[in-house]
Amino acid sequence: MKKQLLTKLLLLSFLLCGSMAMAQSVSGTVSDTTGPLPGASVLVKGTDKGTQTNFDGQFTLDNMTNGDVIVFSYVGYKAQEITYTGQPTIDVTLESDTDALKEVVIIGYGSTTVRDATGAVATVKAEEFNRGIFTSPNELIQGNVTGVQVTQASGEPGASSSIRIRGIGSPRAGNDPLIVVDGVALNNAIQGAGGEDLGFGTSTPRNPLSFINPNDIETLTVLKDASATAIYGSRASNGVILVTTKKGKSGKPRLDFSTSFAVATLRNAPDVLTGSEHAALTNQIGGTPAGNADINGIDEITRTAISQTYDASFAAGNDKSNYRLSLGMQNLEGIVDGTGQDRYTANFSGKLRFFEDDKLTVSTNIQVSGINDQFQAISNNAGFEGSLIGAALQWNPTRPLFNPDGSYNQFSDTEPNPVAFQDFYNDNAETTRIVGNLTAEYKITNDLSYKMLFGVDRFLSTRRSSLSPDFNLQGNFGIGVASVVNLEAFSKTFTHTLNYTKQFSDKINFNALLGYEAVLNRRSGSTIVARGFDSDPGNLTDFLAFATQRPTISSFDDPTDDLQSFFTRAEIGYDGKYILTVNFRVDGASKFGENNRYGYYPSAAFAWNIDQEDFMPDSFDLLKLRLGYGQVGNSNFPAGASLEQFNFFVGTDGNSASQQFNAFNPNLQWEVVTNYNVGVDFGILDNKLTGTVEYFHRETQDLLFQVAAPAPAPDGLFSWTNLPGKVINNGVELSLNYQVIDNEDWSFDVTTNMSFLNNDVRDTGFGPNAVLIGATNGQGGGVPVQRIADGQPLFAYYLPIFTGYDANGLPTYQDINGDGNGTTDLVDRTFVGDPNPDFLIGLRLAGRYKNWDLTANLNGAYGHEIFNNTDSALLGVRSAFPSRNVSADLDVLNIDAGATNAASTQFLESGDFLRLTSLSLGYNVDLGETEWINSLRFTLTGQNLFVITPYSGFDPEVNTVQTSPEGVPSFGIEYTPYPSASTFSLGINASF
Amino acid sequence: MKMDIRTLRHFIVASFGALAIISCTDLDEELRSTVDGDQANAIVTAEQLLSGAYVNLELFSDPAIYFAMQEHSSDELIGPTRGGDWDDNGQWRQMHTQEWTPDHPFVGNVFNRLLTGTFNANQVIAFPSAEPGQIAQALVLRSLFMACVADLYGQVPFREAGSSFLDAPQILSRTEAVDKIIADLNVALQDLPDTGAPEVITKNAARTLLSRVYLNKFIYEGAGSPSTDDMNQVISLSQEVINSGGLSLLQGADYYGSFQPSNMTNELILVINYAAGVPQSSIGNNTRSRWFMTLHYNQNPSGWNGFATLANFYNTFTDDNDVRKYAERQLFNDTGVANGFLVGQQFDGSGTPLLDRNDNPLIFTPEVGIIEAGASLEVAGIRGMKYTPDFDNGDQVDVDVPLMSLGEAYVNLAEAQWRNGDESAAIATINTLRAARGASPISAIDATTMLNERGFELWWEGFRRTDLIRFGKFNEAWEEKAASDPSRNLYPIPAAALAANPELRQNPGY
Repeated sequence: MKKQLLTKLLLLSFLLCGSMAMAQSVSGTVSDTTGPLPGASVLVKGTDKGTQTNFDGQFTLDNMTNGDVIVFSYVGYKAQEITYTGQPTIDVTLESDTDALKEVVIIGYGSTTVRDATGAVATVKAEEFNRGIFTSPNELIQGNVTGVQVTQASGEPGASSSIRIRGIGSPRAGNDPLIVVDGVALNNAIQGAGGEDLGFGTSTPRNPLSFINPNDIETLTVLKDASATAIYGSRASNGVILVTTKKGKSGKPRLDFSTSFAVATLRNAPDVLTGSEHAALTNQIGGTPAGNADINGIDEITRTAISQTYDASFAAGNDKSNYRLSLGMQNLEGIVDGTGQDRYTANFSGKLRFFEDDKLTVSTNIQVSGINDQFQAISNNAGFEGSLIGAALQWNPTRPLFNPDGSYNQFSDTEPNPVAFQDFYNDNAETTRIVGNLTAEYKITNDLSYKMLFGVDRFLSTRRSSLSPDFNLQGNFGIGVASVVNLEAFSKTFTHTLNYTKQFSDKINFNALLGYEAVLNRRSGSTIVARGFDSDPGNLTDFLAFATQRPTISSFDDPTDDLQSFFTRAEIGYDGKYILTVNFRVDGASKFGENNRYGYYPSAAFAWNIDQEDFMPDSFDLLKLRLGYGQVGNSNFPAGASLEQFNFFVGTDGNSASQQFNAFNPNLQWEVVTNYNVGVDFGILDNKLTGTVEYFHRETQDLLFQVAAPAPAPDGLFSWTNLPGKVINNGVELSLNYQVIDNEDWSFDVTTNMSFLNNDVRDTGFGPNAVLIGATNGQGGGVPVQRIADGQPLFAYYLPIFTGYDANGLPTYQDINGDGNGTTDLVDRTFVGDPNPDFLIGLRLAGRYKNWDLTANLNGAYGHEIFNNTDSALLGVRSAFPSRNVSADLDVLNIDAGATNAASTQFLESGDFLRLTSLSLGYNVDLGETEWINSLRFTLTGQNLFVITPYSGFDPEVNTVQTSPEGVPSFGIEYTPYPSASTFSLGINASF
Repeated sequence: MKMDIRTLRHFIVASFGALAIISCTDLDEELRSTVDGDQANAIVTAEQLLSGAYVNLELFSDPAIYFAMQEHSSDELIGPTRGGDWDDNGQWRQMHTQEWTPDHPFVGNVFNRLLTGTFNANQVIAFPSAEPGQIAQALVLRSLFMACVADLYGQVPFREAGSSFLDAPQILSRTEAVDKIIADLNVALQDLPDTGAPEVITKNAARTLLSRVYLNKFIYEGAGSPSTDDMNQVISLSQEVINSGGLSLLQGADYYGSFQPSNMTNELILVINYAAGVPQSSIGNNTRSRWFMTLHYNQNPSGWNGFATLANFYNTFTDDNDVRKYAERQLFNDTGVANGFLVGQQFDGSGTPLLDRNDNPLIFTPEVGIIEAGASLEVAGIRGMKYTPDFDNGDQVDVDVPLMSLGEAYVNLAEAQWRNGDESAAIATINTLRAARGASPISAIDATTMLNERGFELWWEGFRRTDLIRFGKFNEAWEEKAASDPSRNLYPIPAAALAANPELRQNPGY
């Protein structure tokens, strides 16, 4: 109000003073509320005449004529128009533009506005991110985007957390979205070196995104439907996430510093018997307790973890250039003793403009990260001895961990001592990743510009793991093992685009994009495993030459993995009402079969801004109907899959040997994903209430699979083939944002999103039995509990139905084949659920009172099941008692020791949950007139404070993955994971 | 001046554009750590391909596939479900009760892996620079795998060497397969060495395989009894093996010397060669599992507390001096674990009685149920320790798995002599063997004696199902198994194989 009045007064005074003057030039200062605004555009409307403000926000225009209209504009601010009436100076204060509809939306190879967007695109800005300490950017948007399921990573620092956009469409070729960082698409095949199997299973892969410091991200944009993703062609079927990093802004140089200090504790672990309970039950069944200790294995191996992060960035810019440099350091301790991650990141972005009218713009973004991970022996596929977590859960609580002489009590090689396990195991990884690009953009004419991008992605990772020969584990005692795994990858991207933008009349806007892109990926690595250490001289990976057994050495270098693409997009807007976008991409990939070298990915979308029609009442600020159709591909299969291949190895006899292991398949191609999307965007009450409703239908065909050739054929082969059949995902998405109140003292904002998802496999002809997946681990393990079958969702559970215990304390099962006898045999099973949620919900509440603000993020998923392998293989095993510990819920006295723990619905649980992902309280210090500091902010954040769930295991969000022989990754099976943590953090942000 | 700047600018822009040309790729795919067919012919040697084919022998050592189909289905072995252990979808129970189905995992795995063996052998046979001796070894390997497929499944998908596996294979009937095997082995015999280490195929290996095929030929032909000619073939082939020189029977408890670390005895004709410390995870479980599968957790080495023999089979061992029943060797002094069958109270190396994990005395009982529970959970069943563990080499043990031995030649010879009515020769042959094993001689012979002797010599070596079928006993009832239909004498064609190859026909009864 005040400002408007001021402007009016100013205008009036200019008019009065200047009416008689004949001055031919005008100058002045453009500023915003914080001060002068360099680089703002000052144009005379309807002409080419114009300039930009200098570093002090000043401008001068010559040859002015009375009546000229001067337009002052700057990105992110409302433009102002002032009529020149001869006044010598014009000072303008621009107001920031809060019109959500004009906000820029990043899309593939370009940008558009909320108003003009035609596809299903969701943008999450930094201020909307989840708060707290994260190792990976994907957690920033957990629960924030409708239709996007970001699974909570385990509590392990740097653990991977999956992103699934609109369900899962591919049984075999991966369901991870394409990640594009500042225009450079990342190779999905790159992730940190996994651990070798040293006798207790292979360990989880690292989160491939953890190289990005979340503090460097400006926005995360999720492209969901094919009309938005088709421009990425054969890699786009699982959606695309565009990461835009922060850039320097014109204006005063700025120094930001932030630090946080966090304390994490174990959130939840399954209840096991205490020492006294265990002893009492042991006595009741006539046994003798192993000792009189009272030990909780999980408590013994976990701790209160302290973590800290430091981030500093400085940024500056003017009308010719800007830059930003940030440095970050994060030391995370894991709640399991001996685990952690240290991450060092540097991010530089810069932009320079050259030539008259700034025709040439050169910019660069570089992300450098060095990560040191410290691991413990926690795996996805441990045998019956269990991994560290299994050993801790099962440790008999009455049995002392130490002998009277202080040495570890290692009484058995099948019941390893968890504390000794931790001590005798050494495992860490060093990972370096550099992702950078150089971009040059040249305005050939006012309408036509050319842009070139050169991007590189360099990745180096070394993992060194060892288990001391002093550790008593079956096959290890007196032998020991050490492994060194090296991985390196290098990707290059060249992108050339021509962009043509023209307004043909008042009504027709036209924009066209034409592009060429080449992507060259290379990945190689090597592994050494040495065994036979007579004694333990320290970290065994430093003493490989000490190993007496012949070491296992292997290496690989992936076949050529090149992609060459041509793409185009045309966008026509008519009168701001009708917008038509057409995309077309041609992807040629070296790994496609030679008869299908090139794939074609078309899409089209239409948007109708109904609120702009005359017949619509003004109460709608936005009412837009969007229709989209497109075809995209999924080509997540290894290079070389279409070729005949022979490998070399050492036979069991120690001689060199060779076998053919892959068949020639000239027709091998991408999975074709066809996508339909209908969406309505609306905004009412001055855009205080906005929302989107969308329906999507996504069909995956030409399913990529590894199938056995008709025998006789190479072993385990499993050649890559496209199979008939399809996977259908469809659903409804709803997102709503309501600004309940927004004034000087108070604001309150509610955002919610909901997704209803359905998943269905059809026409594969697999029959009920062909693809058995999701094998369990440990005691009674190796049993597939899921299968892919027509008429069922992907990864449907196929299990015997547990009906309780009989009078003898033995489990009983439903008779499904009708032979009068319910068993756990293959014939007595049926489909009993699936791990795909039917309903996802996210809720964000943000309130502010004066300098205080409070934000809460919740997310949940409903309608899916989890197979609790921790219960089935460890804690629910009656026969393990009393030697080992069991679940506190296990009825030891009434269940017979011979009761099987065979996989059945007994261990299938609902995975429904609602989680308080983060709760954050912030305080902005009122700095008054202090000059040397701009802002100072304190935040107190709690992450993962509670989960409401009926699930009895560690965490209803299951991230453990194990891959079947056919290469199908499991989904929804809890394999005794690293437990999740609750974290409290205190953060300080200062800006100078 | 202005021109210059323009030129310069164009030059700069053009140089960026030049990157477009540099960045063009022809999308040709280059293999790096593997090679394609053409390169393979230039780089790969026939010797390497032959090694690759030998590796397929590993399928015989894994206790969970071929071994299970031959042993768990018989009266010699049972894999009881013990509480949480060994339920495994009922796959062990189905093997023992002969109630398997076409989607049983062993049925599918063994089919694929045997035929993979024929494929890899074909790679050698078709290899341009393969030498006659190498081709001969590959022919024997291919014949061995084909003979097993014919024996288990009754039909054999087959491709000639050099044909693409993208083409549908032809299906050989059981008799066609047998004829082909006999012809191939006779070809191979011409180019094989007379003698050699048991890790390499010699004439003796080809002869042993031939005699096996002749011995079972009447079953494959659906005849009620063998032809005299076929039995004469077995007799002459076995005698050629026995008299080939270099092979001799081990005496007494040294019988187990063929099943211990660094086993290279004079009894062995063909083994799966496991070298210490060589990665053996390429296909399946190695020899290690042969002692893990049976020993109790609290024994040394601690096992998986699984498989046991059945009391009736154990009771056929009437001669306590027969080392094949029980023998105490160095292993017993070190760890308290004997060789042969373990029954009764078990001890550790110092003679202290062992307990099970529920603190019951570890007394292995002859009685064993297919589903164990209660106090007998961990102790039911007589354990079989044919092998001597390798304590020095961790998971990658140095214990070869015998596939053909001189003992087999003796029992094959005796059986053929007996089937041809020459009882005295058969008794003499058996008594030669029994003398070496510390057992008293027999004076009379009938079908039961003959089958029992085969059981004594070859227990838990993967012969029993075939032997029981040949002696007409496979469908009888025994402990924890009811009488079964004769259709069980063949396994079903795996469901996945039927789906992949429409030329295959499911066996009757499935």
